[in-house]
Amino acid sequence: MSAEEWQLIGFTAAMALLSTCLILPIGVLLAWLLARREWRGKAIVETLVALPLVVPPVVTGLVLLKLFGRRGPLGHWLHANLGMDVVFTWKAVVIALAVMSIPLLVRTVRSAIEEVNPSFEQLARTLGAGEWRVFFTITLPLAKRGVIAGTLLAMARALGEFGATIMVAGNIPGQTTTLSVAIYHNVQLGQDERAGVLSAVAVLLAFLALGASELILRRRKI
Amino acid sequence: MSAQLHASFVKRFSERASIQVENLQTPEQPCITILFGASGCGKTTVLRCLAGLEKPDAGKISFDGQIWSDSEKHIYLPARVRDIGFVPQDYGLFPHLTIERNVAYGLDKMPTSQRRQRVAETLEWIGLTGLAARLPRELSGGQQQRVALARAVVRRPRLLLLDEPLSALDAPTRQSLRGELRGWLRHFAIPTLLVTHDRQEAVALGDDLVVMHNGRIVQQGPLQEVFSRPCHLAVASILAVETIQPAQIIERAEGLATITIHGMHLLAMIEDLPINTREVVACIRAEDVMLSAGFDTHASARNRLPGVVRSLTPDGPLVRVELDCGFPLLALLTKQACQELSLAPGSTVHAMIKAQKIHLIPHA
Repeated sequence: MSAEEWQLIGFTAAMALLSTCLILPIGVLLAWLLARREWRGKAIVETLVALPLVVPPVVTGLVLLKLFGRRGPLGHWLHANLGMDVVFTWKAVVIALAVMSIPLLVRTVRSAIEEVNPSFEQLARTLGAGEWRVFFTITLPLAKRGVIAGTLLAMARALGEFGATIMVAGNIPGQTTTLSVAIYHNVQLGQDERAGVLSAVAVLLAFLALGASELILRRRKI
Repeated sequence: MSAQLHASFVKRFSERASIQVENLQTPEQPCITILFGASGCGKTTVLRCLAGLEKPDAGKISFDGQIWSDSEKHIYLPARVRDIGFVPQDYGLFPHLTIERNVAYGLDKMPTSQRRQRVAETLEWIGLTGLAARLPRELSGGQQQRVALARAVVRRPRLLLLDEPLSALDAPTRQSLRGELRGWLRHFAIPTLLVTHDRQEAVALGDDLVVMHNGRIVQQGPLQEVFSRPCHLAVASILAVETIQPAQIIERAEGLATITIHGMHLLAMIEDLPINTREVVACIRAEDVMLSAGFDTHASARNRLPGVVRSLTPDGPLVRVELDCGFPLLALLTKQACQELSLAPGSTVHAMIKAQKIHLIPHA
């Protein structure tokens, strides 16, 4: 493989890793709030989190483009206050991947937390533990496998993201082009052989992430 | 110091009858109070409300002068700050932590060296020193029960709440652990509220007794008093034993024990009493006591006690006869039998009890 292809793989992996790291704390907190707390607006947040799973990714991408574009509410604020441009940069790639993969993380972690018997948490409280300690010493360790599996699933989803990424980050070689976008681009140019090689790499990455997550989830049931 | 618990509260449920606790109190001295009642009568809910795991809908709970819950003043202290030791029915040992870390869980604010020492001491006391590095699932039920108790008492809580501590164990383990449990509770001298539906357990472990029936407290007081003077028909039927008396074993022979109750000698079956047990509680059901006008030398019953009738209380087709045989003894007779014997307060009779009808429970 050429240096250009290695750059492509490295860039895609780095973006997926970055987005997964970004959504991990948010996603776990959100999963905990959904699993263990009753609050106003819970149903709305629940729906919003699941939405990227069912809405066409291009539509999600378009919404992000409008939000983060320089004339969009978020993009305008970021440009005016931090001098930061998001759209058609690597930051847009990270945002697209994060939004598209967080539903999988939240769903997996939420059901893992729901499987933890609340009586363990209650007991920890009777032993003087505050909510943070209960979460980090009881809930999280007991839901550990679900958290790892959810993270790997989200990572696999991020590695293969196409629709939202191309809308909000475009296809700028060396700057925003990810593996999936490059495959599409190569097919359009008639370079089927190159597209095939890249596809094989994509399949391999997804296979590894999914396989690991499946292994971890299965071990938990025994 | 008055480490007294006062509780009067209501907990409502949408699908079952509400729990209404009126004036639940524990004695001032650290002692073991039994919360007794049939399964499903709301004992566990009461315990969970006291622990701060469930919030009463109305009412007040206070301990040692500190308000734990007051619906009018909108005070509700979470479990975390109530400083209690809670042992649920299934022990609730953290499955991912070793025995040592389970026991040490509540001591996180203690310096490490002190904590290690305290945990080691406690594990030694309950005889589990060698198992510190094991996980809960590698332990037997009886060992898990010990760990759960150790985890609760290691913090020296102000109040210990035990929910059916022995019910998940097999019968032999339950019997051996029952004796040990009382010893441990005495040793740690922490006021304890223990939930059980097992009469033997109540008698063996308790000092005070609180009887619950259909979500309400129907009677409370010193154990012996409640057993011998049930104020409510429900209490009598739940307890099902009318005479409960402390006794000492003075002799053993051929599976029988000679016991003395207030100087009166009686013969009883030893059953499954551990060897060397001296202090026991003798339980005699009223229906197992027969009365005769004179001293019947031909009767087979081993125990014949002269006594005086104190009172007669009709109870359906039966009559509850309260006797004084040197100790209070209750007998349950038919109305006809009472008439034939022409029983009245003050009459002298002989009470007869078969040796195998006197049930002995060890009482440390």
